[in-house]
Amino acid sequence: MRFNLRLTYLLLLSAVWMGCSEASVVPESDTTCTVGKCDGNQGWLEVNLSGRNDAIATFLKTESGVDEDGVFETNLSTLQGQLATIQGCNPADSRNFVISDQLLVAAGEEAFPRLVSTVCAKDAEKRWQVFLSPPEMNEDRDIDVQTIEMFAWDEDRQGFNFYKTTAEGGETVSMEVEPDECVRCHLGGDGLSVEHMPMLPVMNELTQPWEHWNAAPGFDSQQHEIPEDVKDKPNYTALTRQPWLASASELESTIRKAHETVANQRVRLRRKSGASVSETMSLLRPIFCDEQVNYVSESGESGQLLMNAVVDVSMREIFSKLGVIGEAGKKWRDLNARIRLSKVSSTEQRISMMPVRGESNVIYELSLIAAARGLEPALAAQVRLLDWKTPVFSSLRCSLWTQTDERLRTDRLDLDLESLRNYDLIPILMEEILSIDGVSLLLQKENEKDRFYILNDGSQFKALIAAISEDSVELAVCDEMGKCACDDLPFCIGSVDDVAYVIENHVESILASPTVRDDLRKERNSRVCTAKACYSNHPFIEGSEHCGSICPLDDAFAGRSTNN
Amino acid sequence: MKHCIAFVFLFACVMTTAACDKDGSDDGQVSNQNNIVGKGDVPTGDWIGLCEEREADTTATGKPRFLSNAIRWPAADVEGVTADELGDDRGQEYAEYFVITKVPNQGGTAFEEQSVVLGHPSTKLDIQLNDEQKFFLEDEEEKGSVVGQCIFTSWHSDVSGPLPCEVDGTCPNILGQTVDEKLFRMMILINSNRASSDLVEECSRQVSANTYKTGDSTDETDVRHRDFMRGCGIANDLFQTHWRSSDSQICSAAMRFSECGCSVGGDKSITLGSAIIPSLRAQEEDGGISYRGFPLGTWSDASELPVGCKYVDIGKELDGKASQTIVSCDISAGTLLKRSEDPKEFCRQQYGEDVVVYVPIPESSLECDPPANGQYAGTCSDTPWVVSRDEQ
Repeated sequence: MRFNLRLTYLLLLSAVWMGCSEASVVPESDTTCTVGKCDGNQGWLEVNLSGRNDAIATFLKTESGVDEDGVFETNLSTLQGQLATIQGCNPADSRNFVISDQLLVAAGEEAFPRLVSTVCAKDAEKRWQVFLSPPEMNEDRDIDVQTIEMFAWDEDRQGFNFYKTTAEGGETVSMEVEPDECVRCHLGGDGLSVEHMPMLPVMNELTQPWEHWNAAPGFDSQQHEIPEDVKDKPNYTALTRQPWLASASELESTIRKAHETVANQRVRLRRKSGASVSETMSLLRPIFCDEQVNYVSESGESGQLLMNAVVDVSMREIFSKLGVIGEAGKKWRDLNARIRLSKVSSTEQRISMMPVRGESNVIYELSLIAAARGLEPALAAQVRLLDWKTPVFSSLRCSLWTQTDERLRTDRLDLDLESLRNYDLIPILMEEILSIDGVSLLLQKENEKDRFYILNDGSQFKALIAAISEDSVELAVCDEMGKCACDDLPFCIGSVDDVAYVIENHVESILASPTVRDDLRKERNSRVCTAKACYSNHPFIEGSEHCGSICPLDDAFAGRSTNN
Repeated sequence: MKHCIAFVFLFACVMTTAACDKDGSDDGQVSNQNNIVGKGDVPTGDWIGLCEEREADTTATGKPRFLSNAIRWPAADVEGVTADELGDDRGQEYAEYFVITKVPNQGGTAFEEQSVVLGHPSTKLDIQLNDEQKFFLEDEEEKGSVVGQCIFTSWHSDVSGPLPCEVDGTCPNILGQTVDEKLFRMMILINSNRASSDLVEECSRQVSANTYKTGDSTDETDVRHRDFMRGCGIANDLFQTHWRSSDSQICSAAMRFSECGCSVGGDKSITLGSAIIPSLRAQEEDGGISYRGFPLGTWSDASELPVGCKYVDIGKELDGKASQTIVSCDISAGTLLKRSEDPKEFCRQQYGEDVVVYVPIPESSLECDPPANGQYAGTCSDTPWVVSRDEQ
C-alpha cells in the first residue's frame, strides 16, 4: 500500500509547486473535451494533448507508450533523461535540487526531502523550460519516484503546461493533464482574482541563503537536514549523486529566467488591439496586489538580511529610472543592499522565512515599466508610495485595484474600445484606480519634476484623501542633511529625492533601534501568519503553528473596502 | 563627495608613486588612454563598521573567501560603490566590467551594424530607446535573442599588449568589437600588477616592522583581536581601502603570512608579493607575460563560470596556459530593454557576484615558522593566510 500523504498534499508547495485542495481554476486552454477520458473514438493523446507543444506533450505523443487510459511506465530518472533528449540536451546535464523540511511530515517529526528536477542545465535558453518534482514519500520512507508533478514551456501558447503522474503500482503511472490541484497553487493569493494570470514556477525561498535547500557545491546549506535513515535509501541516493545534485543558487537563476519569460509574455498582452478592460486590469493587478510571495532569511551567522525585508525592492529600480541624484537614499538604493544585524550565536535567533513581495511580481512590474507604451515609472512609484512602510500584504494598495475592478465590471468606460489597444487603457485605468471619491492621487509635475503623495501610515489613507481635497497636504521638506519633516508626518508631498531621503531615514531608524532584531521578528511573525492564511502555496515555516486561518487580506482580495 | 575624490586621488598618487619608485618606470601608463582614477561614490564611514561588513562577507553562508590555495572575492563591487552624476566608481576589485551590445536602429526595424560599448571608463553609461526600438527589443526577447555581452576583465592595467592571439591574428571579436588592450585591458590605475603586489608587500611589512596596530591579543573583545579585523585595519591605516573586498582580504592574508613567519621555500629574501604576483620585470626577464591578471572563475571551481558566461579566448600565455582574465556573459534583448539606463549594473547584479577573482597562493612552496614571541603566533595554523574560516 502506498504511503498516503493526502493531508499534507493540501499544504505542499516545495518551493516550486504544491497540491492544493482548492481547485477549479483552469488556465485558458483550448480543449474541445474536458481533460481526462472522453467518450467516443478520440484517443487519450488526441483528447488531452491536442494543440500542446511542450516537451512533456512531445514525449507523451512520441516515446511514452501511453495507452488509452493515459497509463504508461516510468520513474523520475527515466522521465528526466527522456525529456532531456526531447529537448536536445545531454541527460547528464540534468539537475536535481533538494529541499528538506517538515512540510511532508507531522509536526515534530524529522524533516523529509523533496526534489525539484530540471534538464538542459548548460543551455541558458532551455534550462528553465522543464520542471519535475516528486512530492511524496513512499512506504519505504524514500522519495516516491512514480508520483511526479511537472510542467513545461509551450512554445506555441507561450505559457507553462502542467501534468502529474500518479503511481499505479510498480513502474506504472497514470498521467493527468492540467491537474486541478496544481493550477491554483501556481496562481495568486487565495481569493484574489486570477483572471488572465499566467501560471508561474514558484520558488518560495528564492534568494540566498535558500533556507532549507541544499546549497552545495559552492555555498553552505542553511536549515537543510536529511534524516540519517533517508540518506541511504536507494531513490534518494540515486537522485542526489553527482553530477545531478546541484545548488539552490543554480535553481534561483533558472527560476528567475522563467519568471522573466512569463513576465515578458504577460506584458505583450498590452499590445493587443481591441482593448479589453479586464485584460488591462489584469496587467495592472501585480502592481497593487501580491500575486506571489517570497521568503528571505538571514545568511548564516553574518547577520545579513536582504533589504527587501523592509523596503520594497522594486522601488530602488523605479527610482533609478526616475533619476534620483546625489546622496539621497544611497543606502537603500544600492541594488545589492543588505540589512546588517549583529551576528547571532544560534540559529533560533536568526530572522528566517520573512515574507516579502514576490520577485516574479517585481520582475513583471519592471518589465511593464520598461516596455514601450507600458506603465510610466512615476505612476508605479506613486502606487508603491501608498502605505510604503508595508512592503508586502498591503490591504490598501490591493483594495484600490480590486474595488476598481469590481466597479468597472458594471460601470462601463465611455470609450471606443475596439479602436484602442490595451496599452491605451493603461493610463486611463491607473487614473480610475488612483481616484477616490473624485479625488486624484496623481500629482502634476512641478518645474518638470515628478512629485508624489508619500503615505507613511496606511491607516491614514482617508485623512490623506481629505487633506488632498482641502489642499492641505504638507511638503516633505528635507534639509541638506537629509532630515525631512515628512519623517514625522502620516503623509506628505515630496519629490523623487525627498522620497529617497524619507525611505533611507526609515531604514536608518529601524537599524538604529536597540531592539531591531526583536522588531523585525515581530514583523516577520505577523507577515508569516498572513502568508499562511492567505496563500495556500506557502512553504513550511518554523514557528508558525500559532497562526490562525482567517486571511486578513480577504476583504482586499474581494474588493471590499478596507480604507480607514 | 569631494573628500571621496580627494582621497581616491591621493591614493592614486600613492600607488602611482610607489609603482614609479619601485623601478623608476611607469609600465603601461603611457599606452593607457584615459587613466581613470575613479570618482564619485565609494563607501565612507567608520572603519570598524566597514571592516565588519567585509568580515561578514567572509562568513556569509557559503562562498569561502580564503582557501589554502587561493584568496578570492566576487568581481562585483561592494555596496556603496555606485555611479552617480560625478562619475562611475565601479571596478574597484581588480576587475572591471562593461557592456557591448547591439542596438536597434531608430526606426526599430533592425539592429544597427555597429555595436556600442556602454559603462566602460571611456564610454557613456546608458542608451536611450524610443518606442519603436523598445518594441523591436521586446520582439527580439520573445525569440530568445542574446543582444549583448557583459564583459568582465581582470587584465592588469599595467600589463601591456599585445595579446597572444594578436600575435597570430586569432583574436576574437565580440559583437564586432576587437578584443585588444584598447577596450579589454583594465583602465583604472589601481587595478594593476604593481598595485596588487605593493599591497601584499606593504601589509606584510607592517608586521615585520612592527608598525601596525595589533590590539590586545589577550582580550577577545578588542576588535583587532580578530585576524580579519586586524588586517582590514592595516588596509585602512595605510590606504583607506579597507572597504574593498580585495584589499581587506589581501591585507589580512599578508598580515597573517608575516605574523606566522611564513616564507617562500624558507627563503625570507623572497617577498610574498613577488611569490604571489610575479612582477612585470620578472615576467619580462622570463621572456614575456604569463600572469596577465588575476584569473576569473566561479565559487564552485576556479576554472568554471556561472551559467551564461564563457571565457574569451585570447590565446595561451607564455606558460602555455589560458589566463582566464576576460569573461563575457549574455545579455538578452529583454534585459537591455529593462536596464537601458545602466546595463552595467545588470552585469554587476546578475553575474558579478558569481564571477570570482582568484589570487592563487603557491601553497606547496610556502613554509611557516611562527616566531616564538609573536603576539598572534599562538593561533597560527598550517595555512595562516586562510583567515576567518576553514578552507573548503
